[in-house]
Amino acid sequence: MSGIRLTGVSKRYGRVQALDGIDLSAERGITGLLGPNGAGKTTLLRVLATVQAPDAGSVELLGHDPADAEQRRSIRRRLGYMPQEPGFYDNFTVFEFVDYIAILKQLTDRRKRHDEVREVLGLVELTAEARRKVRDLSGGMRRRLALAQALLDRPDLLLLDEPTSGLDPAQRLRFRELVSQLPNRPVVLLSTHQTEDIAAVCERVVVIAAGRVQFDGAPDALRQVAVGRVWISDRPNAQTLLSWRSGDGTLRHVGEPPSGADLVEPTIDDAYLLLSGSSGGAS
Amino acid sequence: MSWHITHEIMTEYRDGRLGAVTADSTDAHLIECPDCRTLATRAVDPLRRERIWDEIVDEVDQPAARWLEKGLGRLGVTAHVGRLVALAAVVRSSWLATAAAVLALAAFASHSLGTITFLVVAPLLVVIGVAMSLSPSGAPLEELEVSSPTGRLRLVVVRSSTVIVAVAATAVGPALMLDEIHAAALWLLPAVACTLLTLFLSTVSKPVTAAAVVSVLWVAAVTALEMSASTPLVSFQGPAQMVFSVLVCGLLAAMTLRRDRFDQPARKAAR
Repeated sequence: MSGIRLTGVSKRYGRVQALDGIDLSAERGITGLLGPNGAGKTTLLRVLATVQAPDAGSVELLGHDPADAEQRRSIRRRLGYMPQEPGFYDNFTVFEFVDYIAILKQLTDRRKRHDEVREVLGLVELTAEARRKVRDLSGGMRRRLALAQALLDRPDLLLLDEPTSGLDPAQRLRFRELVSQLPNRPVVLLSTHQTEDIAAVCERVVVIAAGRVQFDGAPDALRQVAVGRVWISDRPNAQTLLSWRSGDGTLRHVGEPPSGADLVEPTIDDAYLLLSGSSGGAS
Repeated sequence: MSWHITHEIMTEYRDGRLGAVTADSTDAHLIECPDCRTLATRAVDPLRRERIWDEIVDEVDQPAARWLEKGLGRLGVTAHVGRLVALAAVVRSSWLATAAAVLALAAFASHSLGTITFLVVAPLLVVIGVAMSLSPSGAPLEELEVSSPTGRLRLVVVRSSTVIVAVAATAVGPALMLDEIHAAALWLLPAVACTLLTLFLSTVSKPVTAAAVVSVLWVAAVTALEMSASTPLVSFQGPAQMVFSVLVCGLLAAMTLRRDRFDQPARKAAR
């Protein structure tokens, strides 16, 4: 199988240019999509999930063209998609919900389907909640439930929109462990605003702002972007792009060097702020 | 525990050859005695044990089939399609009760206003039901449904058919109250046409808007025809049914041409 390839993909909603000529390709492994709210991450994932057709540009997913109905179905058979807000039938139990999605994924053999449902519920540690109604679940449990359905039938293309939002630190660690150890090593694209997620599990990071790719490379290469542009001082400075007071009482500046400041090693956070800030898309 | 299960009893127990009384006391003993349980575990072929366990787990996990799913199963509908039907928003008892009440009122009103009241109302209920089963509140998993290999078109067809069948089933009782009982089923073909038109329009507008447009068109067309004709029920009888048949065929063709549009969510997306 091959991965994904996007060339010049654009999408507009009314007067808003959500995607503006995105070029992106990815093979097996985890790619993180990092960007502020409204940057176009969700739209990009929806295009990849074959939910939204782009206005312009070409898309190839797992060797197929999603514009063709038959090929689109082939993609969907091998796709796992966790939308940002999946929506639930609140009356369902946890088991029923995943079972329903498994039916939609055309796992028609009941026994095999139920085995599969039990397996993914085990992966996200919801086995004990299988008979609880979805409406009684906490926010974190709902996120895990949404993740469980995406893992059904070991997809080759796994798209996760903000998978760690609403998870507590222990659950977040468990998520990282889970997604980095998927046995069939699918093509994974996950969107996040959490730079720690990127540093922890992604082999590659794509920074998106205002519908464009601002950076594409390894997480450490992203950090390098900010080398020579992060400073600390004990006085505020109006010229820098961003500055904030850190835990030890000093002020951290990103951007132009303020007078009397010391250059420090940047973090991925610094680089991300620099990129998204300079593109005018920071929020 | 002073006694344990003998080898002979265990063999007969395993093979299901024990008498009912001895089998019951063996059951009771096995629950209490871990040693004999271990013995019983060894006596049974591991593959068989695994299969039995799988069946028990599956039985426990199996979501409780709703009455409708059971009924469809008896009619030969596969279990997974039965589940899709049972999930259509209109299969909720509250909706069905409302539909039944409205149809009963229409049937009652037909004594003074004519059978036309009942025949106009039934397709309207279908159109409302279809719109409900298409809108995000009735189908909250839209994105997941669209991105599944089953595809939204098939779900839309399953749900719309469910709506028509549900309204038809609900209409049977009220129809018995009609004076012109022979005309009781004349609304079916118009309801199919109205459904297809609603589905077709839902590819260009919100399902609720599509349903509103179709409802207004439906009521206006029937009113105009009935007022201009000298015989009652002219919009349902004879040539009118032919017109509806042609309309259904035309709309089916139009739907086929636009089937790709069902592959996208009905609502406008967030970024």
